[in-house]
Amino acid sequence: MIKKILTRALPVCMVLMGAGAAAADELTVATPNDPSIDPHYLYVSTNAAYGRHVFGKLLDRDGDARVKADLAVSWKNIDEFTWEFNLREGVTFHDGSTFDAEDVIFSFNRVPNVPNNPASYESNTNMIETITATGPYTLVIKTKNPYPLLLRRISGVSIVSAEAVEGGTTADFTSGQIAVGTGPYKFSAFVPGDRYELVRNEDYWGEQPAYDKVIFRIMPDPASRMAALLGGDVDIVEGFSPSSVETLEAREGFYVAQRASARTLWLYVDIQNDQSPFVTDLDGNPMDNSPLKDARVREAMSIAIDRDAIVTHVMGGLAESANQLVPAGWFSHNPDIDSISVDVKRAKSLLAEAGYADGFGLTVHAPNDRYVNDEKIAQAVAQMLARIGIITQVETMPKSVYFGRLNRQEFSLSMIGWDNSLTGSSLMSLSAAFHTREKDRGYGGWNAGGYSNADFDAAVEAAEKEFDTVKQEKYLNEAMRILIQQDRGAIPLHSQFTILGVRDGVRYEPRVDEHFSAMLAQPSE
Amino acid sequence: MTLFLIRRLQQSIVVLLVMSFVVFAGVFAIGNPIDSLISPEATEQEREKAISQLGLDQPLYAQYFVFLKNVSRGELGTSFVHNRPAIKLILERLPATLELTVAALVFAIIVGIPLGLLAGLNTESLIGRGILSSSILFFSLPTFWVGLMMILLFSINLGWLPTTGRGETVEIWGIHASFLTLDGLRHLAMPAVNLGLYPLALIIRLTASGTQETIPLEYMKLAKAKGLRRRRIIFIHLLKNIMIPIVTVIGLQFSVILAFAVVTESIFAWPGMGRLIIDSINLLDRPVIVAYLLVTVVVFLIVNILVDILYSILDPRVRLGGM
Repeated sequence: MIKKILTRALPVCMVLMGAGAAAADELTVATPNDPSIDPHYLYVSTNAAYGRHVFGKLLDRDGDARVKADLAVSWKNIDEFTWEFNLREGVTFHDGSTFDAEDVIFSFNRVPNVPNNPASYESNTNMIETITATGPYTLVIKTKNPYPLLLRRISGVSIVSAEAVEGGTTADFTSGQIAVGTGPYKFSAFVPGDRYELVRNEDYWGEQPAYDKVIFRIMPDPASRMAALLGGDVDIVEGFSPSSVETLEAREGFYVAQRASARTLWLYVDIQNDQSPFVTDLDGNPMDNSPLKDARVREAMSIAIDRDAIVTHVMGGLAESANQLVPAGWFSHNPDIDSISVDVKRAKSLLAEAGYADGFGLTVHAPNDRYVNDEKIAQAVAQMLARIGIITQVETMPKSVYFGRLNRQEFSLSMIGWDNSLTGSSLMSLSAAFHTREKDRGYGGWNAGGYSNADFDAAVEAAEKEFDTVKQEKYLNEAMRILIQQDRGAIPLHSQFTILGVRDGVRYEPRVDEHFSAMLAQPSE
Repeated sequence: MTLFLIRRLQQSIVVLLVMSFVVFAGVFAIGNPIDSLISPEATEQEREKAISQLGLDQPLYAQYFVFLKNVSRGELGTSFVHNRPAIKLILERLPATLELTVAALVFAIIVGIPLGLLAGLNTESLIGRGILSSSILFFSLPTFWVGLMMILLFSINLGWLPTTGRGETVEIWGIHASFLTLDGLRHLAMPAVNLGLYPLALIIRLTASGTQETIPLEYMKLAKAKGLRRRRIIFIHLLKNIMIPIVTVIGLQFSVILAFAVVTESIFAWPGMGRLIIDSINLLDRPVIVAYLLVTVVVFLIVNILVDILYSILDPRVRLGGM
C-alpha cells in the first residue's frame, strides 16, 4: 500500500518541484556571501559583483576585464592631468529620476565619506584632485598626478542618485529605501543571511538581461549549496567546491562552468630580515644569517616545486601553472621569462653552492579559508621543499588572522593570491606587493617579503605614469623580469579557475574576475 | 520570591560584566578586522585611516572603556560588516532561530517523553531496549552528517521536502513567522528534527531512567494498592515526580540550541542567529561577536531563572528564597 502511494506520489512531487525550478523567468543563485546593498560600503570583490546588478558606473569592466562604456559614452584626455567625459543622456534611475552629472559628482564625493567603513572604495577616487560638471552631461576630472589607470579605477565607483541618497545612510540602503541605481536589475527584497531578490529594470538603457527575477540565496555551507542544486532548489552555485566537480559532472542534468580567472597565487619569501622568523637550522635553532636572502636558495626553492603536480593532483586540473604573477595571455605577461621546470638535482646543487647542502628548516604559512584549496597547496609545497632538504612545516589559519600577520611581515614563506583584473595587468600586484614600502606615496602596502630594488621601483613607477600602452607593457615586463628572473623575489605557483555548478537549462559564462553576474546567464533552450 | 529575583539580578550583572571583558579581550587578541576586510588595493594610509576611524588603534583598556560607555547608553556597537547596530542585527535574526529552537524542542518533548516512558516501563522488552539503544545513536551521530543525510534522502532522492532555506513567512505582531504557512512548515521540518535529535535523546534517557527509579518507590506502590488507574499513576504520580531533571535539561538545551544552532543553521541555510555569529567570527566583526555573546548570556540567565521558578511550581519542597 505504502509503496503504491509512493510510486504514484513521487513523480507528481518531482514534477511539481521541477516545474518551480525550471521557470525560465526566474534565476536562483546559491552564494556564500551576504551583500552590502550600499555600493560605497565595504569594498570586497563580492560586493562589487552584487553592485553591478543594481548600479551603473561611468565605465565598467566586462567579463574579460576590458574597459567598457557604461554611463559615460565617450572620454578623452585633454592633458596628462585632465580627462573629459560625455555622459549618457536619457538614463533614469529606478525611482524615475533622471541621471546627470550631479549624480556622478555626488557619488564620487560620497565614496570616501561613508562613516565606519573598514574597507573603503576610496582607493578608486583618491587620485582625483577635482571633479566638475561643465554641462548636465559633461564632466571634467583632474587628477593629482598623471594617472593613466583612471579609466579602470572609476569602474570601482557606483553611481547613486543624488536626490535619493542625499543624507541617507548604509542602513537606508539595506532596507531598500534608497537602493536605486541605473543598473539592469532593481532592488526587490533583502533578508540578511537569507536572500537578496532583484527584478529586471524594464527601463534599462542597455541590453535587457534574460531573467525577470534573480534570487540570491545566501548559503555559507558548500555542501548545502551543492545539495540545493541537486535538489532543484537553485539553478547556479557560486563558490563551487573543486572536490565536488567530479560528482556533479557524473550526474545527469548538471554541468560545471569554469574559466581561468585573473587570480594568480604566489609565495612571498622574506628577503629583508637577516633573522627570518620561521627559518631555523636543522636542529630547530634560529639562524643568524637567513638563507632566504640568497637568490640561489630562492631559485632552488622555486624549481623544487612541481607546479604541474599541484595543478593535476591538488587542484584537480582546475588551475594553470604560472611562471610569473599574471596569467599567460594577459596584457603585461612577459613572454621572455622562462617557464619553470622541476629540477630537484639542480635545486640541490644550487643549495649546496649557497652553502646549505644539508638544507635548513622553514615554515610555510597560508590561509585556510581564502583561496581554492589553499591549505592543501601549502602542504604540497612543504613536501616538495622537503625533497631538496628544506624541512618545511605548514601552518595555516583563518584569513581574519592570516592577512594581518602577513602584512606585518611575520612570516618567512607565505601564500597570497592576487586578482589582476582591476588593472588588467601586473601593475597593481607589482606596485603594492613588491615596490619598496613607501607609505606616503602609497607604494608597497602589501610588500610582505620586504623586497626592494631601485631598478624595479623605477620601472613600476614609469609604467604607472605611462599613457602609451605599448611603452607601459615594456616597463611592466621589465619590472617582472627583474623581480622573477633576476632577483627571484617571489615564487609563482598557479592561476586558479572560477568554478560554478549549473543546472542544464541555464547557460552561464563566468567572468575572468570571479565576479558573479546574472546578466551573463541565459536559458539555454 | 522578590528577594530571590533581586539577588539573581545582582549576580547577573556581575556575570555580564565579567563576560563582556573576557569576550572583549579575547576578540582583541585574535586580530584586527581591517586586515581581513580591506581590499589589497588600499594603501597604507587608507588602512591607517580606516583603523583610526573605527577606534581600533586605541589600546585595549581604552576601547573597552568606550564600549562600556556606549553600553550604558544602550548601544552595543555597530557592525563593521553591515554598518548597522549589532543588537539590531541579532534581534532581527532572533525570530528565525527561536522558531527553529521551539520546533526542535517541541519535537523532542512530544516524541521523547512517551518513548522514554515506554522504555522505562518496559526495560526488559525489545521495545524498551530498542528505544534506549537508538537514543545512543541520536547522541553520537554528528549533527552535520545527519543533516546532510536527511537532505540527501528526503530532498534529493525522494524529493519530498525542499533542501534548504526558510519558507514563506507571514507577519504577526511585526515578527516574521514561517510555521504558519505550509511552505514554511515544509522548510522547517528537517532542520527542526535535525536540531531536535540531541535533546530528544537526552529526554528519552532521562525519562526512562527517572521512570525506572521511581517505580519501586513507596508512594507508587501505595497508589497501586489504592487501586488507582494505571493511567493516573503514570501521568500524575510518576510523570510529575520525574519532571524536575527533565525541565532542567529542556531549559539548558533551550538556551544552548538558541545560541549555538550554528551547524544546523549552516547546513540548512537557515537565516538565524547561529549563522550570524559564525559569519561574524570569520570576518572578525567584533561588535557583533561581543553583542552576540552578551545576548547569549542574558538568554541563559533568564532561562535559568525561569527554570528555578518552574522547579518551585513542580516541587513545593523547593524554596526560591533559599537558592
